[in-house]
Parts: sequence; C-alpha cells; structure tokens
Amino acid sequence: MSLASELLQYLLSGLTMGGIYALVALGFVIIHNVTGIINFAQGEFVMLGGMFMVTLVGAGVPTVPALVLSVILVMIVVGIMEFGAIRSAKRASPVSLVIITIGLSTAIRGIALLVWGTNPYRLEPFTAGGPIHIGGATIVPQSLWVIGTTAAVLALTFFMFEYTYWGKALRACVVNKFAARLMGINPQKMSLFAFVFSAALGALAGIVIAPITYVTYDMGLMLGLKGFVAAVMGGLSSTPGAVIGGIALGVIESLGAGLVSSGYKDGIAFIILLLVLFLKPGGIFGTFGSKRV
Amino acid sequence: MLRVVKLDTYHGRIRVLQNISLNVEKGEIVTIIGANGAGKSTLLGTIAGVYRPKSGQIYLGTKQTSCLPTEKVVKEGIILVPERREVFDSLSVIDNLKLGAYHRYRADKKTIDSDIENVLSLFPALQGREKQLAGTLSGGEQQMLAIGRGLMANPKVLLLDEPSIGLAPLVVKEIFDILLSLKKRGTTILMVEQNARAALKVADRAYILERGAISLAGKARDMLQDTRVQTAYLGARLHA
Repeated sequence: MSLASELLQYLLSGLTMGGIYALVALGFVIIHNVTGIINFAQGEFVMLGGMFMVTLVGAGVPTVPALVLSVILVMIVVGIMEFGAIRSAKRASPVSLVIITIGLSTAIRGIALLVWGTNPYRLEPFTAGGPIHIGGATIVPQSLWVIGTTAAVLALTFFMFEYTYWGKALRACVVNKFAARLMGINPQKMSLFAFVFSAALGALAGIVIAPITYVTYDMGLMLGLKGFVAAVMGGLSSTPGAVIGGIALGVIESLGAGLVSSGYKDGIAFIILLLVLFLKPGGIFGTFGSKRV
Repeated sequence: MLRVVKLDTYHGRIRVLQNISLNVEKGEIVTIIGANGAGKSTLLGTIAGVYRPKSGQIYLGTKQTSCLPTEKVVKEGIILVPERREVFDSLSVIDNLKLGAYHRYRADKKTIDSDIENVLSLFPALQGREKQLAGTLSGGEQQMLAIGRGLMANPKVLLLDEPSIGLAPLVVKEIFDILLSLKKRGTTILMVEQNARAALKVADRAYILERGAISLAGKARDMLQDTRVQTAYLGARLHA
C-alpha cells in the first residue's frame, strides 16, 4: 500500500468519525449559544440514540421507522430532562447548570447500564454489500451513510437557522438575548427547543455510527468529550466552526493513529484541546462568527 | 390607558423607585425627564416586565400587568424599545422587523408583509436596505430600526428608552419628527429622555424623576416655562 493510498484511507476514516464529532459539537454549540450552558450530557444523547435503535431493530422494527422512532424517543427523554432538571433550576448560575448536566450524564449512563448491561450491541449496516474501493483505499458503505447523514443534517440546520421563522427567533436569542425577550421571545421555550434539537442531532449520530463502532452503555462519555473538543476548536459559539472542528478532529485523530500509533488516538484529541485552550482560547476559527454575546 | 400605581422597585437591597404613580392616556406622548441614575430606565424596565416591582401595580386598560414576565407583557401590548437600540446586529433589517412581530406572527402571518411596508414608510432611511445587516447601519438608522421593530409588535403603548442618546443633533431632530408622525397615527408613547428640551417639545405631558421619585408632573408646555425645570434640566441660568 503506497503512502498516498494510506493517507487517503486515513482521510476517509477520519471523515467518518469527523462527521459524528461534528454532529455532537453542533449540539454543544446550539445549546451553549441559546442558554449559555455547556451540556455535558450531549454524548449520552448519542448513546441513547444508538441503544434505542439497536433495541427497536432487535424487536423487528424495519430500519427507517426504527430510526425515526429512536430520534423521537431521545427527543422526548431530553425534553423531559430539560423540563425537570434544567428549567426547575432556572435561578442557578450557568456553572451550576453545567454541573447539573454532568450529573444527568452520569445518571443516564447508570440507567443505560441497568437497562442494557455492559455488552456491546451490534447493528447491521443500513445497506448490505462489501467495502468500496477508491484509489487504493477502502470504505464501508456505512461510512457513506455517516458522511451523507452529516451533510444532510448540516444542510437542514443551516436552512432552519437561515430561512425559518423559528430559526431566526433562535438566532435572535443568540445575538441579543435581552432584545429577544423584549420581542416576546420566551427564553425557556428557546432553551427547550435547543435541547430537543441537539438531542435529535446526537441521536442521529449514535444511530448512523452504531453499525461501525458497536453500541455500549458508556460510548457517550468519549464521544461527548470529543464533540466538546471539536466545539472548542470551533470557538464554542460558531456553528460552522463546530462542523469544521469536528471534521478536522476526526481527520487529525485518524492520521495520528495511523501514522504514529493507534494507542495515542484518544490522547490526540485532548492534546488538541489543551493546545487550543492555551494558544487560541477563542477557537482556531475564532475569526468568523464566533462572537460571544 | 397605562396606569402605574405606587410602584416600588429594588435592585438587590437598593430602592431604585419609590412610590411612582403615573398615567398615560391613549394617543399621548408622555415623557419622563431626569438625571443620570434617577431610575428612568428602571421605571421603563419595570413597566415592560424586565424587573419585578416590590410593590405597586401596573395596569394596561383594566388588565394588571405588574409581575407578568416580559413575554406576557409584550402580548398585552406594552413594547419597550431599549436604551442603546439593541438591534439584532447580525440579522438583516427585514429580519429585525419580522422578529418585532414575534408575539403575533402565527396569528397575523398574512398581514406581516404589509405591516413591514407600513413601518418602513415611516423611515425613508431604511427603505431599500432591507437585506443589509442591522449592525452595519449608523446609530441613527439603528435607532429607527429599533423603533420600527417595536412598532411591528402593534403596541398599545410604546416605551422608548433614551431614543436620542449618542446621536448627532440633526439625527435627533429626525427621530423626534418621527415620534410626532407616530403621534398623528395614534400611537401612545411613554418616553424617557435626557434631552429634556427636545422631549418636552414633542410631549403632551411630562414627569420629572429625581432620585427614584416623581418630583413634578404637568403639561410639557408648562414645564418648558417652569424656572425649576429650566435651571435643572434645560441649562438656563438663574439671574441673580
């Protein structure tokens, strides 16, 4: 295998994981922008999406309805969570709320352990068929699903923020929360909306990645942290930054694992996090759209 | 129309407003004049539901609005155009106006576009620049946009907090001319201003706010002649 095809291989697998990180990071950024909270339960949304999907498919539900149902289930769980744990503590400072989300993530993981146990679950790929060869590198069809889903979701998110009235109200909340309130925009409603929307993003990520990585009760921890790193790389308040950060993190990780050692795969993400925080706390892409309000 | 009765507002333990009572009739422009820190913005903020009063009532018509959260107060028809404009600077002019109608968007979807045209007709400076980002407008234009955004909510009472602050004299005149044309269209306005002379010229009635309490109330025309007001707020010298 030549170096070029090897690099292409790392790039392709990096893009796959990068798409997942981007979806998780986007969830972080949307919630942070609207509410000021860093939601450390974001990774658990991914796990829940995967788990619901595996369970439903295992129960004989066809892929597409199972996918839709899983996403809706996660949205409901997160909606209840926002209502019960975040809103009821509305007087708390953002820092306390962040700690609440850490507690929630531990709780969700604990419940998942009780329900699903420690075994990894496998989900069949969405489409059958062997790996596809591109210029000396191979890619499994499920990776294409991941990349395609990511692209579609990003396009949808962009459309929502740019062209729908709800999206604009959400952006108004981000740009100037005080003025948004004076327009009658209810910040609580927007907070619920942000959480539920991020839940859908996370659940989708968990579902499309399930056939590649298996689903375990504790997969959310690492995915959540990686998504957070990606969001920080993008400046924590910029949606394009989160997407680029996610994809960049996936590719760097994959290159590092391939060229240096796969043992350092997770370490690389956290080295990047430290480097970004030390050297460019505003995010690598802090120049565009990462204005904090 | 708008009636405030014995209002007290605290910021923490500091009593900012003491026993404020005032009223605004339909179609009137009423102005509140006072020095920095007299509590003018707090008063408007309390009426708009941004701050909770400790005691006292606010009525719009017969409906009590004190202690309602801002979004409910907005629904009742009290709209605050805040100090320093607070436009959505990374959204376009037209989106700013659309968001102004947020509380009635679902009910009035069909009329929003004609309402926007209607509001824009008041502000020639904004016409033809609907797609421009609000943050790229000049201060005066942003003030016009903020007022326009407030009008999009179809307010029963429009609260204006320092509409002339930080603007060039010519622009200030333009803003006050707009207020007069709003009055002709029947808009009810309660306005806080530091530019006392300009405010008293357009207003029907005025209240003077001193250290959180109303010290004088009356017709704006009479205030312009009042020696106490002249020395304290209009820059006149006392002749020895």
